[in-house]
Amino acid sequence: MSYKTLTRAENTVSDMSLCLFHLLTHKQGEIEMTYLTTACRVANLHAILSDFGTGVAPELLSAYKDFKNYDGRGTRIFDSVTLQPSIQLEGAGDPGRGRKEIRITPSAFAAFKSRLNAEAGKTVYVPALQTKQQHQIGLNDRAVLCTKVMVRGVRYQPLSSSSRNCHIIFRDHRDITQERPGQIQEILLHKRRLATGTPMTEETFIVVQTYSPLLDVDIPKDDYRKYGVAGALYYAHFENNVVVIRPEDIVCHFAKTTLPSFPIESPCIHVLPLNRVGCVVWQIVFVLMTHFQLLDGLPEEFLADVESSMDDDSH
Amino acid sequence: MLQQQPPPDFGQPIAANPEGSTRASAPSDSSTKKEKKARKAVLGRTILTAAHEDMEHIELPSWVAAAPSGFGSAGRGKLTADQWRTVCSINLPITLIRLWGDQSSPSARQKEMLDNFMDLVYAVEIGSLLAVDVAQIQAYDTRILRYLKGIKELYPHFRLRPNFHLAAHIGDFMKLFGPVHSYRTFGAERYNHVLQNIDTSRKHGK
Repeated sequence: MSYKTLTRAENTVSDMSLCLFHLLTHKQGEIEMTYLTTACRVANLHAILSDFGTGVAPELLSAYKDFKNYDGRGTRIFDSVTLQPSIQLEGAGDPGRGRKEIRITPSAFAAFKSRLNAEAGKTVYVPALQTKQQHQIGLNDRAVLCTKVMVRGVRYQPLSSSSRNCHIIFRDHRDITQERPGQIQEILLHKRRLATGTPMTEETFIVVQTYSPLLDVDIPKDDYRKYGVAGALYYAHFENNVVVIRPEDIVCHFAKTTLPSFPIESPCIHVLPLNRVGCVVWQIVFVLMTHFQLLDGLPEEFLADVESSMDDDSH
Repeated sequence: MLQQQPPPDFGQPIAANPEGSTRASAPSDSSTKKEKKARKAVLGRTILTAAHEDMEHIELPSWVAAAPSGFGSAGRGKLTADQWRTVCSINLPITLIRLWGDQSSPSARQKEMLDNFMDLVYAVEIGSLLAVDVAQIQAYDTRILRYLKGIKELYPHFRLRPNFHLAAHIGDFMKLFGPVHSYRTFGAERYNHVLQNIDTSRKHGK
């Protein structure tokens, strides 16, 4: 069994962090036990479960699967598992309790077929009912509707299931260097053959409506683009054609802001990518907080309040 | 909609105006304690009100801890670390760039204040990444140092805290030990949060 022990570097940094903590809070000995216990438990848990493999009770593995997919940020669990390849590869759509099969809309099916044919090599997918020639495979236009898909521990949902988790930045398969904002319309589980005579393969696809980018004449009016980390404006309407992507094409969620006062005549939305995880460097957060202790009207005790956050605030 | 405030006199320290965002404080030999406190203020009620209004139009994914409505007021209480991060990296950039980012209307000082704050946001974003490379660490160092220099120039009355100094060393930590998630203490903070939310009788030994 292979326990993951803390490395020398991790130990050194733990000591340094604790020194900084003591320097700031003037409290000795309270944090060490919790910190080290948490670090060791989390570091060992995944290794233990991996080593035992099938020997672990299925109920425990099932519970752990839900647990590691918990998408709360700023936790040791999330940090420990989110960069592991096994987690990153996960991306199967979840149909929920009722398995509802639907017929894919013509526009989505056209985009779906186009996407598959672009990557299929010699094989060409054609509608299932169409007469097939050599190297042509029938593509069914029926799929199972899903309510969510987990990608790298983050939950993405279609608009019909959640208006908050449907805004995504995704990589366009036609140009993978380009990342675009869109809204998830549907998450579909679809079965098809990869080649003639092969068994059916089930795969998850996501139907996305893409927000229209600004025209060249409006781009100079977008002040957000000048700051790099402040996002950008897009027109508030969608492009005509939907796009079909795979879960691994999703980059992140974005914060969508609809304001009437942007300096562009057409209605716009502000797109702020959230492709970071919510880890917090306490020293930086404290700087953030003290920067805004300057907020007008805040009482003197505000700073003490901020400093007490170093002691007992969390989440 | 907000009305832009008249540009301040750059020769005077900037102070908060309860009705607006910033103004130049009048020189006075008998400056009261209230005036001294006001001299430290950066954002006024108008800007905060605008941020609160903008908040109503922001849609965040379920995993982001949204800032409470009316944040920044004494009655709202303190924010959690996650909420601070949301306020400073999502809410305020959206509002401040809308108000101060337009080249035609804001004063030079407001633009400098915005640029200074965005240096901090940039540094926080890099410092919070789960994977960093050398170029990003260098960018962190550049931004945090520029932010600190800007603070000294823009707010000469502001007393820097030890954490400002510590923030300047996080780049060294990242060079030595990699991204911060392997040595930050946020897990412990989460436990503190869990423990705080457990109901107790507050009576020991009964």
